[in-house]
Amino acid sequence: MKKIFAICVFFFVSESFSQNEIKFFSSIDSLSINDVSISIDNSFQIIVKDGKFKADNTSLNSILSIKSSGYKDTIISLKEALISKNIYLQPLVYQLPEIKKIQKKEAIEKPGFYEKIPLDLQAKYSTYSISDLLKIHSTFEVKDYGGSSSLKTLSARGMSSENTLILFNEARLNNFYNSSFDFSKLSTLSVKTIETQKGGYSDGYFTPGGIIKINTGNFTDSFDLFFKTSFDNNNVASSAIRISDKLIEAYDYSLKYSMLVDISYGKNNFEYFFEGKRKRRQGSDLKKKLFVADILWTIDNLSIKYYGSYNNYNISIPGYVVSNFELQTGARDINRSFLNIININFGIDLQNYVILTLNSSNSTLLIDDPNNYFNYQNNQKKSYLDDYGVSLKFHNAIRGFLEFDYGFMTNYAALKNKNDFLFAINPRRYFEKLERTFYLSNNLKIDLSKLYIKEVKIFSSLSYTHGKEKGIESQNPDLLSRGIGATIQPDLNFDLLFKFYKAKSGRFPNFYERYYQNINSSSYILKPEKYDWTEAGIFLNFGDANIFEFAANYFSIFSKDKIVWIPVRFTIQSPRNFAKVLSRGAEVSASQSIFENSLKLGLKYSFIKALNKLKLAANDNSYNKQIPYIPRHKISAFFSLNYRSFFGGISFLFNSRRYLTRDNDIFSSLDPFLATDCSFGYEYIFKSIKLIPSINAYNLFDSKYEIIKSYPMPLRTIIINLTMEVL
Amino acid sequence: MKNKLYKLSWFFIFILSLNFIGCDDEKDPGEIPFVKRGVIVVNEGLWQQNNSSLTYYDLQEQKAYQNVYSTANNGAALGETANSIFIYENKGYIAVTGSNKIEIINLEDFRSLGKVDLSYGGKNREPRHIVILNPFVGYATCLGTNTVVKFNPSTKQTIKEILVGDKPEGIAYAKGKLFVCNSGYGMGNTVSVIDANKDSVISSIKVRYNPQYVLATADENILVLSSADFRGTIPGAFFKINSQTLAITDSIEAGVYPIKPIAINSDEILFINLNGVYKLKLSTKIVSKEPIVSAFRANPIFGAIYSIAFDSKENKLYVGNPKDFVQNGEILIYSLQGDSLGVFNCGINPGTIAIKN
Repeated sequence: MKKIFAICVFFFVSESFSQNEIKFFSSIDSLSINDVSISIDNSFQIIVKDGKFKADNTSLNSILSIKSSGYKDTIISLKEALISKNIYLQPLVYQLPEIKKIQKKEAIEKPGFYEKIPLDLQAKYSTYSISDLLKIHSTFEVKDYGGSSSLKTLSARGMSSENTLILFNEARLNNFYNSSFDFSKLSTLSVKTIETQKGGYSDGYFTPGGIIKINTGNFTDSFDLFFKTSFDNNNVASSAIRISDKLIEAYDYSLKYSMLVDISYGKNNFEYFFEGKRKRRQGSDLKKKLFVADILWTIDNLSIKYYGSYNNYNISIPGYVVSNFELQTGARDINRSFLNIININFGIDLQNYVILTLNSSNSTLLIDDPNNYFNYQNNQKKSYLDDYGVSLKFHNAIRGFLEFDYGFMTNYAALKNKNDFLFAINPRRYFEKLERTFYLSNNLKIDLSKLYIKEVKIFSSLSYTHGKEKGIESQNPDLLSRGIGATIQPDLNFDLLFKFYKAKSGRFPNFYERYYQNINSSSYILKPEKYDWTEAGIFLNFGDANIFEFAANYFSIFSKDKIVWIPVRFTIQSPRNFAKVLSRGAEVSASQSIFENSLKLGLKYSFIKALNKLKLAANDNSYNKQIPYIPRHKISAFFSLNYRSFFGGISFLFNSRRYLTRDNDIFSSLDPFLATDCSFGYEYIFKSIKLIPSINAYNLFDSKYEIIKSYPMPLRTIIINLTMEVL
Repeated sequence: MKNKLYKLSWFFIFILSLNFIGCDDEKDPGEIPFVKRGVIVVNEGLWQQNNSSLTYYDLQEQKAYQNVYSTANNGAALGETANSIFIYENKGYIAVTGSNKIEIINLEDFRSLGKVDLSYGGKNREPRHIVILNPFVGYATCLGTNTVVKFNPSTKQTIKEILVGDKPEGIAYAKGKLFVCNSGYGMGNTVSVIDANKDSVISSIKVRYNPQYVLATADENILVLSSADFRGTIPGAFFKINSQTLAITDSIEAGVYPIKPIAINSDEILFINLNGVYKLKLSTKIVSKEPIVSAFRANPIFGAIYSIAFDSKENKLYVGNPKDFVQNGEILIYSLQGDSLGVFNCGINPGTIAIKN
């Protein structure tokens, strides 16, 4: 009995003493930190591997110096530590993922419609382009001329693609030439995250047509070799190799890199259907090479990330397909471009940081045009587009309830030796532009927990942009953009946010619009477009692992002085600021993960009523009619499965009727369509090698449709992929 | 489990419901008119959209029939940018520029009688204007290849291709010769002369920039219209050419960007410029000071008139109003004094109006 009593006392005492156990967690996500080094009174050191420190034999007055890789050193007395027994270590602010997590959380909590594009196994191992992913997983509209190398641009909410901003590693990618960006030039293999935001406000940008934020950086903590090869039934082959590794790792600094080479080539002679016949596309061959280097250097609370790419492509420009004739332009688009982006992040802590971004883009644009289809009477077919940008962003928080974002951005671009088939009428060849933006935004958090409201945030934002243009009767346009909004989060056991935002902003004409502005009139000068918009919505999230997420948004955008192209003679058009458009609608997004994330369902719906609101004369039948090419309904849905080593998915895209004329003549319209894509694959692991064969099918059921009139989309395309990863 | 299956099932139900959302307005097939005497409008459509069409306006019924080609030919599309029509022996020969063909239609019922295919060799010939000399000989200017193609209207076969100047447009025949305007997209300034017996170029006549249109006058001479610069820095002008000597005998100023001249009688020409429809009296070489119909009166949206035609039997002027060029247009009917007599709807960009007797 006594022995039993002694044993019990022993366990009781030892258990009591084990009450002096201190655990370590991350202050960001509260996950436990296992590897911690503790120095006691600077005399001796203990290393724990399970995230727990038993302080039984340590004096209460001892000073603990706690270190862990990736976290700030913490100095605390044992007495103080034993009050809560849980010590939360602050990550070193140079860790980009931590800032990105905070920024993403803020994006969800800000006004606007936020969508994250999954880059899962399907995207990694099957052949999906970035525009494909955005087509299915977002409410953006993709304009596609058909085929793997064709021009692909994005737009949203009834606006044009010039109103959708592309931020690539924080740098603006929309060129000053035509304000758009061709997504067929990016590779998913170098991309780490893709997020979109429509409406609201983000870091000095007010874009009613939305922002697409793409970040690269597929860094690994050990050597990783990724190789992929694909071949499709349109005679296109592609191969990619990516190497990533961590070169240096120490307590307070690391150096990682990732390099990618991605090559595609082939005839790209896809099958299409036109006027009752199946045909093969001619003159659409492609040769594309992309080289990417991504380097991340972190030291203490400073990080420097460099992204460099060289893009070399040589693609045939296919012409339109009409009755009796498929145009062979014989022309080739040859482009060589260098893109360099440097991001420097420095932070005092996670609530106070600065991000400096420097970027340069230098492109040589050459249209090789033996039939003079594009370059009429113009022997100089090469032009040069250079674009440089600097942006400095600050984020500060005051006592946790007031946050400021402010900064400065400057962009300089020059287009030299513009070639165009109208150059003899309009011989301007040189355009230059300098744009400077100052912005300030703040959000104020109000705690109304007594009213069962967890948090109310009030946002206000202001930006001023000044442009200086040369080459077109020098213009110095100005733009003042501002907005105000709020989010309300009730106090519930799941995330529910109500959002509201109202803003005014605009867009400067680009080089292309300036070039054509006075084709028909020597004195016409384009003004900036102006937008006035309002939106309201809700965001709902159940579960810690985003098991069920739902968002719905209503928007209303009124565009004044909208630029439209007016035919002058035959094929010649000239832009004019005369349109007024009211674009109203709703966006709904729902996604569900079940069976422990192995099955995911998603649905995106957008309803857009973009109406012309300018009646120019009594016989103008375009008043209150849908703007050409804008579908009223767009629905996309996906279903993906990851089960053991098998992965697969299917996606659907539906667009309702799109009118081609401003009076919505049904005889000049594109029929509704439903297109289905799918992909399947299997992961086979042998020692340290992973082999993943997979297959994609685009347009599985041979839908006959066009997104751009006279450019029929490919019929069923089958792509076979083989990926190998050395771990 | 039940809950998860329930959530899975809503997903598939929603996908199936897409079939119902896909239902939308059906296209009304339209009527096939009983063609008598009327007005035929060749609507260019929108560039690269393969949506050219024909409108027929019956003068007795005073009713317009839209899309008559498509209706008469089981929904077939006329093609891409139908530019002009030449009427010969109750058939219409339509130069469909982007589709590289000359579409031949029966003017009694608009049914297709076949085509002259100009896409042979894979070339983008871009036919613009046609002249037919007899049932076996016709010529078409080809903008894309800088040529004039000779074809047989009966067999619909091409016979020969003749190289002319840069970007040929209008063509006319007089005294054994063909006169071809080389527009050069605004930078050309010559008229090629082809011997119709030898089918070869025998001369090149220099005129003002951008010659696009040419007429054979009642005295079998030639009248060329140079549109010059559409920004108005250089005005357009008519050039009278002696078809025998090939000399320019006269020039008459025609205002800013004149186009689409038509002869209403042996001495008077109507044409369009940026201000409206004007009349030229050949004998006096005088252009009317004021327009018969001002451009903004006909087209209050953009002040652009796209085509004209004159019905000499009823003395009515037909004026094509494209509105803003990206919606269906209308044809306005006036007297020669400019009195408004009526209007009817037509297709997109009514580029040519022809009177069918």
